[in-house]
Amino acid sequence: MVNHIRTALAGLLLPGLLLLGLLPLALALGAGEAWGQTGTAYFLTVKKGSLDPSSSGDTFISEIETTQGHGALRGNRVSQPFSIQFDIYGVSASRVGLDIGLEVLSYNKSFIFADGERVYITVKGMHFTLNTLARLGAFMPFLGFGIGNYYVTLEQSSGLNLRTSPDEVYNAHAGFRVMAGRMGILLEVGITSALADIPGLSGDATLELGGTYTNLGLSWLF
Amino acid sequence: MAVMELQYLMRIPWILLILRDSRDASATIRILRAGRGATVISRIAQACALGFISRIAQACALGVVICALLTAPAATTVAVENGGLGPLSIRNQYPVTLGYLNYTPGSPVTIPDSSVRFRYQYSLTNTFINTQSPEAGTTPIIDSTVVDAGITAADFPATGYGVYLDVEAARHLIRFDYGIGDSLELGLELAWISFGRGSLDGKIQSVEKVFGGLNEDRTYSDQNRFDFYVIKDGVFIHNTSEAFGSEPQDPVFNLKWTLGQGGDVLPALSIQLSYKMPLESNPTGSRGLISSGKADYGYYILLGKAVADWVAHYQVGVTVLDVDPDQFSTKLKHRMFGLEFRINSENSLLVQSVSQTSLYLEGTTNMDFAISRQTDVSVWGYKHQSDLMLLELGFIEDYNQQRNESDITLYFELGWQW
Repeated sequence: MVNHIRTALAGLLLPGLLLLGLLPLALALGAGEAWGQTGTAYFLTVKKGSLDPSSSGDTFISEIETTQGHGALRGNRVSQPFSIQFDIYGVSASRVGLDIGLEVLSYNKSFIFADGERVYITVKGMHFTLNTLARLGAFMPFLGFGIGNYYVTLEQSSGLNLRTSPDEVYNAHAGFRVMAGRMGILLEVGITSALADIPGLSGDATLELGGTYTNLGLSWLF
Repeated sequence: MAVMELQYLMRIPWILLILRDSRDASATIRILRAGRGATVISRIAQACALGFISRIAQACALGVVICALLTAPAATTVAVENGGLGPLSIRNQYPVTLGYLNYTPGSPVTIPDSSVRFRYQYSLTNTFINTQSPEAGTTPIIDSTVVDAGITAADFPATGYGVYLDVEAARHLIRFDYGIGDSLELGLELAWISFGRGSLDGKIQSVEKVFGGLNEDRTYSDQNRFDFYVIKDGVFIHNTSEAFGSEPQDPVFNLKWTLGQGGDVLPALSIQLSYKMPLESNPTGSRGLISSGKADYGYYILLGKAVADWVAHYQVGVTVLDVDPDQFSTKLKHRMFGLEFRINSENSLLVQSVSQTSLYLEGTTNMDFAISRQTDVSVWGYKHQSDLMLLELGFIEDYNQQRNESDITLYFELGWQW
């Protein structure tokens, strides 16, 4: 129980506080002059997408399949993360500006192997990115790169029960928003590297918590 | 585009590669020696292939810079303060790490030529760690009865780490910085530390209860005690219940080099080198708790980018420790990201996340694995900088909770620059 509480805290405390703390601050102190002149604007975006780590070369799945002898993984490794992103956009007189992005995400995934062995992971992550954002009328493409933190709680039906986090997290993404007034649709593709160590039978195995992803989202400009 | 930004662009490939490859000190040095131009760019591609930071990710990273530069407006004459007032500047305060060099977040911009900056910082850190708590799922158990009877090696497992820390640490830090030219800064840090019973245990437990995140380990021990026990494979590294006051830490020397202060598009960027010089080679007693008796060094990359009223701070680095490789990790990797909100030119509110790899080695037990995970803390605070004074107030909170980090640190800093 304590572990669950701590996991929840680990995943949610900082991002939650960041969002709860900074959002009202931004609104209250509101540099929010929208378009047209130099100032600051903010995007709040809710995203849902598809994340595929299968090309990462991590070894944890093969550790369970082969080394531990539980047979092939049934199904695929694709998951559907849900994320909330807060962007601070420096609106300039030109069409191009910079944007600081803060994103928190979470997803769960259950892996079932040939003999019924089950591994369940709960992942919470955070991206901190610097983006270049262009303003071409209602069409707003962006490109960004950043770092972050990921946390995974892993439970294996016949063994492991642990929480770990990767030492290094990198994220890059590109996409666009199409705005209609203060609301807009976001589409993005990206890649995240978040390789976590997991104890295996013969040394550490690795589990990729990121991967290549595609997200569709709804943005609110204020 | 400003000439300064063009010159600065020439340094970007180095920086991207260092960011990607900061896991390996020797590799970084090799890369820096490799020079400029195509060789470095080809090495970036090589580094891409090594990890899951694929070509797409690296291309995006380069693309951000290149697109921004190609599409940016002509250089403005308005100076952009990409460094802001700088991140909250306090090192890791976990008691076991205090004997070693550690990374301190700092401004990515050096102070002006011939300027002197003097700062005094006071921090109070409360730590309670018990790897043998009934909540930890390990044996044997350490609770208040065992502590009252006196902790011995038999109270810990025969293999792997065991940690029992009940410490309140007060640290007085004096820092001097001196600007050399427009882009170099020399620094010296001197600190004195007291370890004691303190008085924050009850207050911390009350606050944790309010937020529903009580550290249950605390409930098995009495409050306001001092106990400092770290053991590995049945041999104590530290074992004392005797508090002490005001022992000097080893001095730390810093050299910071600002590669560029950036502009509308590019960030401010500095490289910092730090060196800890031992005051004595074989410290014993209380000094042994806060000095390794060895020289450590570190190298860090400090980056800041202002976007309107906000400043994003990104910092990464490595600290190399001269320590028995069977006892603790010889290398700590750090990364920090933070947001600074400029209330006005003299005042900022900041929040930042500081992560570092653990001092503990992974080992074979479940507890060893847990405490060898990275540590993550959030730092919250306020900074003021005017002609009259520098002021910094803040606190640090552990949010990963893997039994390898202090619970909370409260601190303030006062300074003057002339």
